[in-house]
Amino acid sequence: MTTLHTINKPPSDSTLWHSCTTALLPGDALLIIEGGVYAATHTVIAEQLNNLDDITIHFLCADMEARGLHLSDNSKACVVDDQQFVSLACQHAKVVSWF
Amino acid sequence: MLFSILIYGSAHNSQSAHTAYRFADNVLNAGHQIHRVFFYGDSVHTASVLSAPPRDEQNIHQLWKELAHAHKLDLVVCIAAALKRGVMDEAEAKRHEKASFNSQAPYELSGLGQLSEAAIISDRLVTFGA
Amino acid sequence: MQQKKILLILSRAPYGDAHAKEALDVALTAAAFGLPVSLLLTQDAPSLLLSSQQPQQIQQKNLASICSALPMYDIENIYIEALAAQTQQVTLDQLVLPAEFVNETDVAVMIRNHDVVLRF
Repeated sequence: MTTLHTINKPPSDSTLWHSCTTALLPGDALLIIEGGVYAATHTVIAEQLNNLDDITIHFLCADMEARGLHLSDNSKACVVDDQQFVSLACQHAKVVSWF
Repeated sequence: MLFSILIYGSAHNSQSAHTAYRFADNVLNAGHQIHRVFFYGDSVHTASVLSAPPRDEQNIHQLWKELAHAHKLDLVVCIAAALKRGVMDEAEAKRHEKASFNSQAPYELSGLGQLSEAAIISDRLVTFGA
Repeated sequence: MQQKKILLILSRAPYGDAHAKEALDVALTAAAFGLPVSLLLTQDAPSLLLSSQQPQQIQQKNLASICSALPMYDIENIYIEALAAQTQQVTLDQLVLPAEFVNETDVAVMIRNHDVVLRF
């Protein structure tokens, strides 16, 4: 019964990011979309995401490209396209959206 | 797999309705079904036929309308949220004695019960937030 | 088919925007459909249950009154994220109805244990 979480706000919304990241359990996946993708270049959040055990982190490609962002070399996250968004939603029992 | 989609973000001041549109398109391309798309909160403005964005900009009303026609999607707009915001079809305009209306098929005004029903029926209910 | 359990997570404070009211409307409708609904108040939402609310001057419906009717719709599992309540100095004796404090770990487990989770 794992969950796909999505989050669409930048790390400056720190209470949202705190609520979201503390709600992740082993086996869950986090997909970062829309303005949330600025997490890729936010040093504190990016490191925090790297340290999550047994939780996969994904960034939505279209939103990364739109904003001219890239994952840093040491990031354990991956960039996924819209098709993979659908696959992630299928792989997990439910989707919870943080906004 | 049977999906339903809840769109909650502002139609013209958030990415919500467009991210949901791309997701829906990919759900259908992957061979899954969509039971219902439910517009709630400020997303109900998506249903207004009077929105007239510049020609070189995204037309979210038109995008959803075309996807709905191509795949016979059930686009439900929360009636309470819509009426409050001045989004109404011909029947509601008559009922509320308004001179004009701005919503029509494939967008359909209906109650929140349609969201609960979608939650019960669907394998996945995916929210695209404000 | 086994009945789906719904968890509604409220994160916004009342009155400043429509989120809290719209979330309550979803809760009441889902309960009317016979779905078991749990309510969790996090972030800015705990103040939604304060019995001291008097929104007459801003011409809004008293959301505390709506909340006090939740048990009549069989919505009795009402949880408040303890840290959020503490930040806003919201205590259980100030509320319109009984609620239970939960911590962040409890929240993660609640999300996992429900079939549908909607956030507002």
